[in-house]
Amino acid sequence: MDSEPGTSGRLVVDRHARYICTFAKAVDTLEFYLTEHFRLSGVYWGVTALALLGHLHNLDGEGIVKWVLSCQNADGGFGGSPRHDSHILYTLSAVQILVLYDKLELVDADQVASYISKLQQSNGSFIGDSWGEVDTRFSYVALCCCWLLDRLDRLNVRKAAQYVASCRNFDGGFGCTPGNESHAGQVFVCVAALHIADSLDLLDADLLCWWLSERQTAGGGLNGRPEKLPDVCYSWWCLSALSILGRLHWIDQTALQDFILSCQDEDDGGISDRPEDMVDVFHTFFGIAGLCLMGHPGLKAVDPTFALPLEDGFAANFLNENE
Amino acid sequence: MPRVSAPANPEALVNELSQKVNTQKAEMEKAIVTSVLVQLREACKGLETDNWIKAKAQAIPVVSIGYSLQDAETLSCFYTVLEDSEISLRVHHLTEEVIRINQAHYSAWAWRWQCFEALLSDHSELLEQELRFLQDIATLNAKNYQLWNYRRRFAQFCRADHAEAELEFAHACLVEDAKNYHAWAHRQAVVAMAGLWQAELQYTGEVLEEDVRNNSAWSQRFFVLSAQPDRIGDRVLAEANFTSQKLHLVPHNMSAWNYLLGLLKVSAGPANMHQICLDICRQVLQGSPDCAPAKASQAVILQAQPQ
Repeated sequence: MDSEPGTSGRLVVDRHARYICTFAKAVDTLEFYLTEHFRLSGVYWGVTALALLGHLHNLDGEGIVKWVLSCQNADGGFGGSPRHDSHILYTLSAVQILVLYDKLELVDADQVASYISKLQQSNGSFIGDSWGEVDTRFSYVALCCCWLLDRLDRLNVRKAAQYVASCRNFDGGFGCTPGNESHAGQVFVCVAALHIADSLDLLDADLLCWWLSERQTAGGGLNGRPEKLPDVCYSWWCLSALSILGRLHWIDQTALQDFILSCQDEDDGGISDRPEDMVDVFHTFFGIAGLCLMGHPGLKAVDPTFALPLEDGFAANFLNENE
Repeated sequence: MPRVSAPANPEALVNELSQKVNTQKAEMEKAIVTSVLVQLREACKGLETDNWIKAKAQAIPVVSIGYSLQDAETLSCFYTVLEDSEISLRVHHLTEEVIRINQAHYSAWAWRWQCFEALLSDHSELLEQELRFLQDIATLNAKNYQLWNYRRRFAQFCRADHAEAELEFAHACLVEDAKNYHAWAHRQAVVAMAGLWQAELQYTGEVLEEDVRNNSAWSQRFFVLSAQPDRIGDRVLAEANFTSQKLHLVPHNMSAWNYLLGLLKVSAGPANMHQICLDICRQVLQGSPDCAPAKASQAVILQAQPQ
């Protein structure tokens, strides 16, 4: 196993933990201000990555939970930051963070589930917010969030699954809405959604996983569509789908691990989309999560459907008890 | 993580921002600079530091993107207007300013639509203005979810006779990035609304002339094919011929092979489709005996063959 010139080929756990903590304690950094409208998701990526690294204790959990709750609006949903309008994406991030810290009881599950259920359309799809955009991402978010809240029955799960299935393409993959091009990100959300809906029979696992295995490029990294550049975030999108479908061995895991490791900033911590690019919390989380799925030593196991730790801590107990 | 509170060292932040602008220049959008400064000023509201930031901000060298302190005031103004739920021409104009400051500002887009819809019947000039505005925003960032969502609403509102303009808009974005997911999805919505199937098939053909490996174009072709049930047998055959030609040009083209295997699965395709596909594999392998996807496809077709 050769590593890239200039990289050690090992995961610099402490540096990543430090990078994330710096980002999280952020009122004094520029990046804090640059990420306001989706900050709640940024916090989810950060704290979950830390939990997977075994470093969650380095953050002020109580303060984070308080801040998360301050993002909730009167309609029951959560915005990306306090005073921002509710969106289904940030509502899931909020619930995931609360599960991680075992503080789910601090929200009114009925109220949150009600907000989400109102976003379901007559064809089973979900809109993201009152703006009305439909996307299979929101189908996953709705199912995932309601499952975590133990309110799945508030949704029409069958119709939700049928809508997701209607977005299946000739190549086995899934797009944003029916007919849209297959994309690894959409594949993850659709596979995970169908898993939660107990409807994996609605897809062709062999065909899809063949398409997913084709995402691996010469350098070991994964891309999101044929002929596109590899990006570390696809280490999660593709791998989680393969994992749910029991075909993780269909990609060369060694080559992928090497690729992810070569995307680290070994001095200051953090992971970027591809080697030599600037790091960010998004790619740091997905790179680490991808390594967790492959059982990289020193990291906690991660749940491929809910993207939360499966080992140690409240999230793990929750998932293990309820899945 | 506390509610937005005053940072301990706003001077350092403003200096960092200034440096970032110097080094990144073109990438450092006006949107970001203003957004950061507005947040800083809100956090420092009532403190002496607010005046300091105001003064310092004017000295930030963003000459190339023309920052003005006005922008910070614009945003504050917009939040006030939102609270009052005002719908008017001046607010419609204000949303443009806000969106130019921050293209991801969800509330501004949403409110702009409210104004547009409400005011159009009395102010027909708004239509042209909207087209120009959306074109401008697309040149700034053609991958903005809010932009495309708005554009979709706009297209549906204007309906079929406006379809060409929508396709032209999407095409302009594809010229910059031939795989822009939003642009292709927009074309699908417009084509479906206006029934422009044949034209879209032609368009994908042109894109594939430029780059036979453009997966989005292949995907679009399948979308057109499967949208109409009539004469599907003939059309699948035509597509098989098309694919065959493209595979002879470039045998190692996963998109084309995936497409061929997709054609095979179309029910109501030609009765001898398996044989047609096997022949294509064989012909490609004659010219390129080591073509792995040809061999793999051949195996899949043989396996799928009815006994």
